[in-house]
Amino acid sequence: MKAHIRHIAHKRKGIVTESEKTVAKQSIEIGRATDQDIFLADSGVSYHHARINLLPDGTVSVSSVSRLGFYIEGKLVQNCLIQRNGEILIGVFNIKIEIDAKKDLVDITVEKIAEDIVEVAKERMLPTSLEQTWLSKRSTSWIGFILILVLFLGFPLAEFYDSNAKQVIAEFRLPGDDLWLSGEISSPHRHFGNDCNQCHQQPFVKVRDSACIDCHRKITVHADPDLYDLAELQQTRCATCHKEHNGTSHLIQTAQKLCSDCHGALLTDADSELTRITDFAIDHTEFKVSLMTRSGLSRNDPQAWQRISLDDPAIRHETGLVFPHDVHLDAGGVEGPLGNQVMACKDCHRTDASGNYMIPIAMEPHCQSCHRLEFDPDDLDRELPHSDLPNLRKMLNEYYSLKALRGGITDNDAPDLVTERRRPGKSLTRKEQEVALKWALEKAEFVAEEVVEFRSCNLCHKVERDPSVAAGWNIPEVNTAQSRWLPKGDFDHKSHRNSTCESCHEAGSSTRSEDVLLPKIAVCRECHGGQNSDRLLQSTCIECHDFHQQEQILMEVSHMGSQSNE
Amino acid sequence: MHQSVLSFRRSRYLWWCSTLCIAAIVAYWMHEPAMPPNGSTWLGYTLGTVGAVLILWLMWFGIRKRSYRSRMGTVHGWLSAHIYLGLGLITVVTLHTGFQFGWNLHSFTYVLMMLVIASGMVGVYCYLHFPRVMTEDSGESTADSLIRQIQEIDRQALILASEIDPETHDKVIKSIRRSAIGGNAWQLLFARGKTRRIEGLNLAPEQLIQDDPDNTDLRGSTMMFMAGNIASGHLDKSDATRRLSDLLIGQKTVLVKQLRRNLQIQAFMDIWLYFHVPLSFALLAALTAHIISVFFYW
Repeated sequence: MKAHIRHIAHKRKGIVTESEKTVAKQSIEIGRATDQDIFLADSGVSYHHARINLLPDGTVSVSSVSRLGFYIEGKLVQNCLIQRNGEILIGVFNIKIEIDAKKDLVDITVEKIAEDIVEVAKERMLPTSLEQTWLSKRSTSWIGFILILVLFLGFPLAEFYDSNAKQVIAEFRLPGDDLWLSGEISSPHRHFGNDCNQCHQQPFVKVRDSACIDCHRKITVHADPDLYDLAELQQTRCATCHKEHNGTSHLIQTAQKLCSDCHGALLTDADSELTRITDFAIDHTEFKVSLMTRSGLSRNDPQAWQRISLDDPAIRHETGLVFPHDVHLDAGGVEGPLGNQVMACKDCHRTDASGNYMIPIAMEPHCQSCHRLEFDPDDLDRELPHSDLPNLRKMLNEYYSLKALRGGITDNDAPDLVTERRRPGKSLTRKEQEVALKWALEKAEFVAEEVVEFRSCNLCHKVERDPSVAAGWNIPEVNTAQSRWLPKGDFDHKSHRNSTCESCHEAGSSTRSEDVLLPKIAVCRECHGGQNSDRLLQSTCIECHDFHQQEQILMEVSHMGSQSNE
Repeated sequence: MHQSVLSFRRSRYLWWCSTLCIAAIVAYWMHEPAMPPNGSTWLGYTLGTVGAVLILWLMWFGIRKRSYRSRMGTVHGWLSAHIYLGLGLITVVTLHTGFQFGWNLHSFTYVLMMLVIASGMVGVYCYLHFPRVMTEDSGESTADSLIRQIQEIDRQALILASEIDPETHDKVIKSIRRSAIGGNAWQLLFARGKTRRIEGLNLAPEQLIQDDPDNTDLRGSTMMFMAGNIASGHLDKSDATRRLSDLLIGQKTVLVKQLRRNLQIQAFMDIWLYFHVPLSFALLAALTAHIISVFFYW
């Protein structure tokens, strides 16, 4: 083979020297020995290090003679084949081999690249710090950064904005906006809880009231928006109080701060009866009882009702009755049709089916078993109808007329015609009938007077004779049909059923029917403390009061919670 | 006198951190939200904002430490603040969560933050502990000076070897190539890999042969070759051989071992940052997603 060998040496001060020679030999020898074709003066090279051969197919083979080998493309090898050109490294020398096939010539350029092998070894040194290894702060940072953004932001946003993406995410159960769930959804909302957009309808806009009212169509406002045109009421959103994603128990706020924020700051103004209230135990006015004080008005007319404080010494419940509780609750008992009877509250006062409220007291179910309306000593089973004064005389007249016509009445003052027993089939003459009916009319009048003024009605009612009215008497309207006395509160008897009646109602010492026997707040405070009480039952406003007032108008977006993005 | 990064300016930032934490705890304790404590009360938003600003500021440290011309405090001071305010994040952000955790982005962000802080705490330990160990180990020698010393020995060894015979020369070249310093991350951290061959060489060469003549690990190694030569004593140039042996077995082994340990300690000092930095960026991404998500679904 023929080889053109060129030596390049870098001297000091940047001077480069070159020497060239052409050799024609079987193979080109490389080594540290002076007889080598390519002489490499470097202690890192063997005397006979390697050999270059041109093969018949036009390629060049380089093979190591010593066991040290050489480097090609950074790898330590013993042999290699060079197709057209290549570079090998032996010791500190870079040897560039170029094949010129046309001229059957191999160009070899030898260049010293370092002073000695140690420097080359240093260049080839393995990483000595983590920075030089595959570990990388930058790439892992980028990968982590992008992965997290794609997963936690990209997927949920795609689900929100793109219906196809939403479908794919649902189909393959990929993570979507469920990754954003900030806390446990309350159990009543959980059935649609996996669809965030039921409530979160617009991005970057707080949940609107319309989303709530879509389902809660019957919810009422807190106060009449025309009367109370307050920013706190108009602009408070549903979600201000009803915070989702805090589990079930916190969906309805019970903290009294929710109320006292406004009701604690209310200043009594001339138009408002609202008073400052911040805490049940220390800052709550005496209860106001709703009483029907104006007669002649319908029960449904708000004007008929008045709220009177239990503190008011003039408070009276005008029942229209003469009814002393103390007589009925006498420990020694009270005389009744069945003899002496010791009565208890429950003999008259019963709760309704809910157990929460008392059934209003009425004559027939509650009183009449004792206060029987009998009028004829000869017929004690016969009773007068209650509450039918205008027809009383007529009914008595009919009763006694029939009796008089039949005869056989035991009445010393009655004419014989009426008292004598008649044989069957014997009828009275017209004259006799007139006598009998006259007696019956007089008797009816007498009994009516007796029953109304002396024996039955007057026992419970304040009866006044008044010839100007058809009935002949005036009996004041009775007002006992009330079952809710504190309609603004939500007291129920059921949750207090383990307490005795007497522990709250001082009925045993009440001598007048006008007495209002509802317990004052002090009685409640024996058990109920404020929100922060440490020895009594902690009771906040919500314990007794509803925020959404049943009697108020339905909530609409325009009434509660503005649409604006506050 | 050198001042520890922890006691910089009489632990100024420790006081900052403590004040921040105490203020957060007192506010949390006094705060009576109408709902359970969580990130969306006014205090929750406040603590969240403080936390987010702190995180951004703490990450700014990566930029500040590179801007050598900055006059905005010393890097030493910044590091001290970085450490203490980073620790303060634990309190601020834990209170921001209101102790509500779940399998969601928000808790994931919290966990990432705690991992960043934990890796930072490892960093502080490394920063304070390992320089002392390194000084005890290597004195004033740095890895570079050790490498230079080893290279000098190699150079001398080559000259000596070329005086002996070509075979010895070849062996020494191989030895230089083989006793590679460093390696991949695993090898650097655990001083593993090719190190083992050198470690066995604390023993005298004669003893090596006696102990384990068939040790494949050692067979063919320079040291075995040298040991064999010395033991057989058949070489004429036994003086050069002994000097070579002294260089390679005596001095180089010690230096290589010292260097490997030096590199290992350096790797220990660096490795935490390979967690701290990527985790910080992961946190930045999660934090971004967290903030966007809570206001997206306000």
